[in-house]
Amino acid sequence: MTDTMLPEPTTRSAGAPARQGSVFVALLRSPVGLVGLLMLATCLLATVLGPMLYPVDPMEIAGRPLLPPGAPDAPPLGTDEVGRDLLAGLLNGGRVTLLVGVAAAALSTFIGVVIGGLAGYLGGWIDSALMRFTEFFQVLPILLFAMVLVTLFQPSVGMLSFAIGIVAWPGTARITRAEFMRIRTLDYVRAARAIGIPSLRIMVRLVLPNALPPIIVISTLIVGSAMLFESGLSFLGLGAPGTVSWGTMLGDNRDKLAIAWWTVTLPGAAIFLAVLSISLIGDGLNDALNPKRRKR
Amino acid sequence: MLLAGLRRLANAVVLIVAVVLLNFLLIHLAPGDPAVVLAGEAGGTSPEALEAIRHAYGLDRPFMVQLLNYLGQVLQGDLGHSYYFDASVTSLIWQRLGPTLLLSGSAMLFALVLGTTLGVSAARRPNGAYGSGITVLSVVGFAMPAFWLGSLLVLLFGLRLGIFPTAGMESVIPPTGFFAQMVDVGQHLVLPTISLGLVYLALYSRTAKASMIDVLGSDYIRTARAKGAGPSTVTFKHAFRNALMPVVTVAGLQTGALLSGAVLVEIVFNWPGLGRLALDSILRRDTPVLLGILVVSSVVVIVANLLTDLAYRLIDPRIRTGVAR
Amino acid sequence: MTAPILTVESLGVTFDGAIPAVRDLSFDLYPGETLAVVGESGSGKSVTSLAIMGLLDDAATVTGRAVYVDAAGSRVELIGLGERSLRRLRGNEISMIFQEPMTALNPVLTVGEQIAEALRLHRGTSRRAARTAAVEAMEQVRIPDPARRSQQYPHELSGGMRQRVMIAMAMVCRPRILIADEPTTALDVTIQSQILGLLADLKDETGTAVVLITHDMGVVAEMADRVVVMQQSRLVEQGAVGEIFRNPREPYTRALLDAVPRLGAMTGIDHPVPFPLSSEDER
Repeated sequence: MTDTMLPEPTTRSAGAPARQGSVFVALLRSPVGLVGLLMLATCLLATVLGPMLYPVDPMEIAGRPLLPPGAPDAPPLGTDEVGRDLLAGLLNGGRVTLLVGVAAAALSTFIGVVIGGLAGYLGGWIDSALMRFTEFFQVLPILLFAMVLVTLFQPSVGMLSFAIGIVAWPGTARITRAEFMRIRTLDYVRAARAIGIPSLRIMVRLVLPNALPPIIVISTLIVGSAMLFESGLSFLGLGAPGTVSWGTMLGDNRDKLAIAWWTVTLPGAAIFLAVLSISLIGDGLNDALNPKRRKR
Repeated sequence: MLLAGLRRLANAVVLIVAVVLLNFLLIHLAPGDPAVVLAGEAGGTSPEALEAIRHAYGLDRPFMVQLLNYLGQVLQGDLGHSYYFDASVTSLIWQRLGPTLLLSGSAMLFALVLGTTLGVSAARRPNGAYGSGITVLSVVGFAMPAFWLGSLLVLLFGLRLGIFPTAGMESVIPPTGFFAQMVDVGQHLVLPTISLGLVYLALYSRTAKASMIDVLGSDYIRTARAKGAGPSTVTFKHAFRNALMPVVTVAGLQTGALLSGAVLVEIVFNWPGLGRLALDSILRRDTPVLLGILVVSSVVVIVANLLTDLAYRLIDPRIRTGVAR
Repeated sequence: MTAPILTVESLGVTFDGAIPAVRDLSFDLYPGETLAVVGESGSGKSVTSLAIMGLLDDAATVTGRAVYVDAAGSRVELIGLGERSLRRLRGNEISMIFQEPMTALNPVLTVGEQIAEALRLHRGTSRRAARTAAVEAMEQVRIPDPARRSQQYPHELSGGMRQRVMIAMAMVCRPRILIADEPTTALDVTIQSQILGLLADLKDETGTAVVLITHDMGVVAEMADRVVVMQQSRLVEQGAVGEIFRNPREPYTRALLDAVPRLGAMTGIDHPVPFPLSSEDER
């Protein structure tokens, strides 16, 4: 189980990207980012269009159990222990994972930016208090905490997203804080304060847009993290009931590893590729937004 | 330095208390009757049983009293009672803590030592085949789900090639003699350690490489070279300790994640640690055990953070002597 | 006249194949003298010294010759010299001190250790003997309480003391050439004069030839025997310090001298007067 907290901010923003468009363009130019985007696009296409093009119900029995891929009268990628179509499972299972990944990352980004921003900009005792709070969440073993939450409160896609999002924010908070602290001392912020613009507006309109680059990078990586997380929880059987996710497939078929390797290897490969594509995009974003620190 | 150390210690204690409080809150925030929560599935739902639990946990008393009660209990080492296992939570956890620490520790060590070595050596030629290879490894290793990797390793090395054992911490019939037993455990330790540690290996090697490249570009390295120091002197005597700092930082931050990952890997490998216990308690809705594990693992992380802090002080004299000019 | 200890001929340094940092530079350094290399920022002064010592990285292409006469009297071509041989000379016969004492010392090693290292590297001195010698070296650069200070870390010393440590480190092996790259620029003015005085005294004691890189004409006037003036990668003028100051031949040299603020220069004028900037299109 991984938690992507970048080391210290390896991205020091060289200034806000002019528009969203230019970020995207820069990302396309970075080879790593390009590969990542392509992979992600493939994943998304497979997840969204796949079920339409291959309209097999992943929950339905499609054949004898444990048929290897390529066996006669077996579905393209074989069947699992109950006889369900593996390919259908793969095509449908990504949805939950991606959804939870994005939702959890969104939640954790929101929390992280708010806490980190307030701490970095306001400083003083607010900073200390918020940092203590952050430290507390950093100390909690994330998976265990999520497991506790899911046990106590009923599991569902929303609950999963919430449970993950509520523990994944410390990294974002620290980076946001560092950026806000840095930008706060810059002249244009000082000027704004001198004119008397209220702090909240300065923070939102002036500091935040310029602090975005490293925040964007880490949020992207948290999507990947959250996906791994969700897969982990599903693997343990704690996923949302009634849905199929790659992690669930892996977990259910774990004991058949010796005789039906495809039921374990393929879902895992799907998770791996999806997370990899997100990581590559994150890397590409890092390169794009941060020309000074080229990953050498 | 002593004062700073005491302050860190006090901070740690505060954190532990906070975790315990969180536990307490969770029990009460969960939907339903706290007594039912504490009883779990096995505790029975008969009114008498629930009444007994209420009394034992003091659930009929005012909130603050309960809180302090709970706090006191935990700090004395009483983490509650598991109805499923019919044993005290503390003893259950204590039995499994060792193997989990062994696995986590090995994985951390593996990732740190190998990762730092790879990263540092890659920094000398960052764009060569070796350097780029390390970068690729880091990116790939990062995205790999530990439980998938574990399964793959089991498949490849355990089942197909038969080199390493695939389950458990010891052979079913453990060999006699201390040394032979160590070797046995060691063999069982290999695959789980790699599964758990690979992600962190990727992360640390990347961090070490970036940090080393940074350090190698700094002024004092130039001074060292101007003095006539050769490449090995520069790398090991001058650069290494300075480059180590970010790696230690990252390692410290990842302790919580490492412990979480251990849970998953333990289940894949049937390792007799806290992971299995946690899963079982979830399935049985044995909440006290789960909460107990949460507390204990948080404490482990807090202790690990203290150790990281200590490591900082040893490595960087600027922190040791306090106020830097 | 004695033979030069270092002869630089047509030195050229280019970065990434495009930007010339130094072009066709030639000068001599005589034993025991102080040669000042002056110019504005970016004129190529520091790059010159780094090129001579072989401390530039692979991105730089160095052409030309730099012939050094070593302790045994043999002539050694420094440009392109093998790394092993260069290492034997660095810190030993040719030393260098840098501008930023803040960052030029390793933060995790004691200052005593860093001075002692030079001795251990080149003289094979034992640990203990080197430690004692380091304390002596610190005494020679007039650091008070040297025994205690040698056990301290760079961040515990002031800027001036750190620069003294750098000097001690550079001089401990009694080099024949000391290259001082803007040694006082980062220091307070009062400390500046102390450090310069120290350098002058050491130079007299040891007979080391000093290459003093600076942009401060005041420092030049105080310390130098001869001057080399650089502008935007080229040599503009060279000569004895007295000559340069009294009869600067090149307009650029004159401009540099004029730029030094003089007491009473604003008499009768109540507002700053603009001065012409050096032309950028001379590349």
